[in-house]
Amino acid sequence: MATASTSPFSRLAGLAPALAGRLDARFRRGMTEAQARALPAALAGENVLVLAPTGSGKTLCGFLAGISRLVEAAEEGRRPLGSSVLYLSPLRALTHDVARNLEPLLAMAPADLPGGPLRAATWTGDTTAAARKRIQVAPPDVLLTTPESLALLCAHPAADRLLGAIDLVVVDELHAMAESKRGSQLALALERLELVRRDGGATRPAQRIGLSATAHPPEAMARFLVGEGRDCTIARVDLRRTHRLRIVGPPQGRRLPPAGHGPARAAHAVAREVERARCTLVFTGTRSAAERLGLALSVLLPEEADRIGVHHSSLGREERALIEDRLAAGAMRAVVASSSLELGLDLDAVDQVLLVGAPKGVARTLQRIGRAGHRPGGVAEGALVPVSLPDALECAAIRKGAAEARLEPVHAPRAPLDVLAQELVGMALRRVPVEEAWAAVRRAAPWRDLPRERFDAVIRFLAGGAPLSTGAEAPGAARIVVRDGILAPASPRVWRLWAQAIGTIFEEARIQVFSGRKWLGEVEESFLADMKPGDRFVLGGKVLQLVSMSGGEALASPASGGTVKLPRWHGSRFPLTPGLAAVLSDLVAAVDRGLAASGRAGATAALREAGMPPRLADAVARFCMLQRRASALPSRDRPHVERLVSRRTAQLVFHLHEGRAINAVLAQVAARRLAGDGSAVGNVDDLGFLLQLERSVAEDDEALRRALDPRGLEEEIDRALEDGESLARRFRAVAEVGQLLPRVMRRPGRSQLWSGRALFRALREHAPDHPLLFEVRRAYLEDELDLPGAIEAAARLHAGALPVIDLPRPSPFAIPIVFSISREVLRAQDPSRALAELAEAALAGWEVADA
Amino acid sequence: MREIRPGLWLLPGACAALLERSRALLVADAHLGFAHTLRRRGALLPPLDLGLPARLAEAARRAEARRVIFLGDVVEAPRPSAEERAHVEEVFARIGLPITVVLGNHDRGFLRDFPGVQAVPSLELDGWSLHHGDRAPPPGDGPFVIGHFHPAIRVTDGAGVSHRIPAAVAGDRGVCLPAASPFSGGLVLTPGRAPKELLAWTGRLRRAVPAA
Repeated sequence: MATASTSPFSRLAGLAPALAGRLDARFRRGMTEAQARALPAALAGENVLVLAPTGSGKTLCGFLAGISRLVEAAEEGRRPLGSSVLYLSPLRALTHDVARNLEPLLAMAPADLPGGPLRAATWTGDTTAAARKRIQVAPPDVLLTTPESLALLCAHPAADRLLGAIDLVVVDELHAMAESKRGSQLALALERLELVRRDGGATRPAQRIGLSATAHPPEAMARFLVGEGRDCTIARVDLRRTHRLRIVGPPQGRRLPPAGHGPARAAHAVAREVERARCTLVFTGTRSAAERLGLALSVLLPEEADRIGVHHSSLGREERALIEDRLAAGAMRAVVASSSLELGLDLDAVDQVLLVGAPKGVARTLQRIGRAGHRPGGVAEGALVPVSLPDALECAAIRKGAAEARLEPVHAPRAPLDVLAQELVGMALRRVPVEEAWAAVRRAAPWRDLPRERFDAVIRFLAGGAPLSTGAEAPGAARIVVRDGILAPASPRVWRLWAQAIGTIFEEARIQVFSGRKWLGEVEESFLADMKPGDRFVLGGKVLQLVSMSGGEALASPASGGTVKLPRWHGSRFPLTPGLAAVLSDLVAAVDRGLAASGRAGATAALREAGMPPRLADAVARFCMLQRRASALPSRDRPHVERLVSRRTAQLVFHLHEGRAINAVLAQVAARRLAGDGSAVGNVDDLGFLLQLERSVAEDDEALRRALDPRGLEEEIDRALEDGESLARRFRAVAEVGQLLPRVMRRPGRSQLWSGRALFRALREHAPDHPLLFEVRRAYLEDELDLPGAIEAAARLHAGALPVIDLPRPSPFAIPIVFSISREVLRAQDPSRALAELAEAALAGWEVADA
Repeated sequence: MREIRPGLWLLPGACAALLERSRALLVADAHLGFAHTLRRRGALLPPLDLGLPARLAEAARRAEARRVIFLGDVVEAPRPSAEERAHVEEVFARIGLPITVVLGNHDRGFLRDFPGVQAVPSLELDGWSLHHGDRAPPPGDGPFVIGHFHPAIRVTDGAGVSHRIPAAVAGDRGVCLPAASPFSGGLVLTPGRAPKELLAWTGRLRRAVPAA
């Protein structure tokens, strides 16, 4: 909740007088703190980064300067024909939200404004062709869009008309984009916008105003927003607000399971909390969980069933808009969402936020609980509802981290070459000279240290210059050509190939689900592949029955009851930050001390102090006791390895509370050192990793301890990446973003023919210096792994004891990782060697020819 | 070489089979020019062939084949570009033996695109009836040899890694050969789970011969 200031808007220098009066009339309490800090600089035309929590009146901070200038320009007869203000946000829901809320502000302009009232319109993936046409014909004063759509628009035939007159760019939820390749693309797209503006006669760059939740360090965010060589004023409102996070355990008679991410067992607790409030926003970790929980709530609270909704990014636009509108109007009792509703304007009607399953970071947690309508006193309240016993420990760690408002520093990908390739094609479509492209790229913060050779290598690749397997030079497939130092598209087809595949988010092939003509949403191809007509599944919280399926579309009709299948959408999984892993480790150590001192009561006390309610604390204490009895309670200072062997296979569970990024490095290195030429399957999480190996290689205790030797770790990870499987697996995404493979090729049904691994290996053999090979390695090593941290951790671990404990079955703490469905093949032996074991392998009834 | 059925052998590595009596090399689903076709459709790949032409030539030599029969889908797409055409012709030249193509669903335009090569809808040889396998089988008991389905088996090793290995599969009515194309991962089959279109040609599947 914003702290009211006594500054009225009319005191602001540079604000159009017509607006000042109306703003003061509407906002009697004057400017918020964020507005008071940001608006003077904004009205002076400076770039501004506004760092403030949700609900600080940031939207006005973003738009006011542009609208004020527009009003003055109109009154002086200088109103531009194209759009003046460009607004960017990462979520379509938010963009539509903001567009709606902008109307009152636009309506404050004088009624008789020359050129007509101020207009806003949105252009996103959801916008219909007809609406896009209207925008081109009559550009709005304010254009609201997403980074991907901006990337497209900058190369669009109508670019000059639409974007040539932009003089203010507002980037919302900057922190949400800076850390991913979406942000990298945004930074480049903004520089391409500058090229379009310059073609339209602009002599200075557009003003940029970034709206962000509190992020750290602020200077890095500012640099990301404005680019190199430009100034930025930082307007910062501190997180003075208190956050109160409760932990909610299951009701009497219900228990949490020892593992699992599914929200099913938390449903009763959630239902009880929903009944206690007027309107609850429930966040889950994944879209599937949102569907599952939404369905469960409808069953548990049948009288509220039509006021319970599900919202996530795989639902159709109408569905989402309906939920958003009803939520804003206070007509919903509960909405279960994945991250799709994480960002956005205040939802005044929401008086409670529940987080089902620990979110993987403090920033995300604070962001989510900040979505509720705000109570006087500025306290943002929320409740964490754990879904399993280990999750309860994570919830306790998050709660502590949030209380201390420890923010993780922003880590932006450095000069990703796949994004560069995509943007360079965009520049070629605009026929930008190579040297101008180079200068523009280097102005974007993620690219400022890009070596010229890499830039040239990407251009060469896009121009079809990758070497051939036959060794003969021949003109190859190309996206661009360079003529007289100017980039240009290689053929008329390039526009369509490129525009169809804009963006950095890699997705599995999706099937669009319709009911009659209504588009309900999309599900992954692999989900529907196993279904036949008549099978039921749930989407958008409603039960549907599959009617028919062909090509990329499925027809379904409403159904009820019966067994339903829950769709699963693959999404990225966020790691716990090392800071939080340490907090969790400290908690477990405290429980261990409590157990040693006074048994179960001591453990329960430690957990209660960490915020758990009594019954839950008791259950978790028992869980920890069982762990101690089975092997040992691990912590950062007391790691250990558990070994489980079966006839052919050994599973090694390394309990290391180092966070996933460090554990991933250690897992790769350990896998290579232990398995060598053989296979290794791994699973990594924040509290350790699992290695599954041929039994014989896991039986030497000394070898296990040497597996984490810090000496030679860097070379070892290098080699592990070379001869392991991890890069091959990630290459597909990079190849698609980076223009190597058009996305249109991934039609449902064809996927079985196309072996991505074969491509990766062949490319590595024939073109080892390929920029996309460099990128897949860089992205994994820099953005997913923490090599420096791992070297430090290995030194620490190696210096201490690492007991190896043999167990007949997984310990309680090992259960989540041992039974997790997602495993990654870290190393794969030659298939012919696997064949040699055929005599023992189960081949499902085959009579097999002898070798 | 591993015997699939008497007189029909699977060669190591090349995913090609040999009909012993006529010394005919059978190559199913070569999809020559696959990478070239992708390039034509917009992929920025080099025109990789993953070593298939070399392996085919070597297999023909080692098996002392007298002729080569492509069992359908010899090319990936109709109307080849200049570089695709050159590639296909080079492969044929390198093999250096009489070539017959049994037409498949991907080479519907083959007669028009490569007029110098013998192309037929099916072929009887050594008591086997050779087809591509994309259509329903003709009346009669076969025995058939087809391609089209890219059969593979799944083998899990000691560490739990599952490998997809192309394999010839056989039933009482016929044999389905694995795809020669190294781009194909293969469709994993088990005796209990195979497309009914395949079973129409082979009968119930009993035997698998992996191509390692």
